Amino acid sequence: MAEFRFVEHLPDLIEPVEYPNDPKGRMVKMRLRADDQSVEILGDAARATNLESLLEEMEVEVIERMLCG
Amino acid sequence: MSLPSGDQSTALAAPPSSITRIDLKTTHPRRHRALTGAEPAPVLETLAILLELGVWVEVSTPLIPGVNTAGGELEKIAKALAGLQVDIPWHLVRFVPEHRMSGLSPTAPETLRRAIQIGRDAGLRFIYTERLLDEAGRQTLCPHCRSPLVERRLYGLVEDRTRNGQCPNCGASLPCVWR
Repeated sequence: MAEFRFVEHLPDLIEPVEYPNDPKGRMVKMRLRADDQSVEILGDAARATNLESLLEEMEVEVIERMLCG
Repeated sequence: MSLPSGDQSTALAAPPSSITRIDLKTTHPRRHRALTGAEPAPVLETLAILLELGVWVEVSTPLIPGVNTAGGELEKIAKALAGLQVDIPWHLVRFVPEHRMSGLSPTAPETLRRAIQIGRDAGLRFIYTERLLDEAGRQTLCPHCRSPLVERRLYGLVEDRTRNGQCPNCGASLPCVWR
């Protein structure tokens, strides 16, 4: 099970201009960056549980989350 | 100040506080109880006591589709706040579906825009929409000349143009805690 850490800030991937096209809030966006040592996945979703489920299925070690926003 | 005994706790907690921000989700007693476990009347009474004691009060309302965005509910909230003080900043917050309310949809941008107008129509002078309507929703405008006075990024200050709590354009005094 992934360890959850709360952080002050994470970059947005979904911009406010995209909200009208996703009235149910089902959009999930992800950005992957890899190097020789690790893979960093940045995600954004209105429904945080959707994103967290995806990340847990990937068996990530740590999930960082903002308390708000 | 003479207060009913049940309100003494607010009076005791107020003096060390300069600023407080309180959620008001609805004025409808049953809905407010369902959301929070309590009725809205004590929330409004607490706001009134804090204002009387000189605490700067700001109010947040998450716009929850089907709960407080229809049936004139936002009008009632705005009117209740304006009845206390038109300078209360009203923060309109985008609802995101989580936990027991995951079956609902997020707040639509159009709902936010309508809520801004509802607040203005009620007489509220400082209305904020955080991130949903871009930077303009986070600005503090002079209520007299509408000049932008405080510009904010999502989580921080960009520029504060006020001078000793006054608008540099028209000289109007701005209510807030300036320190």
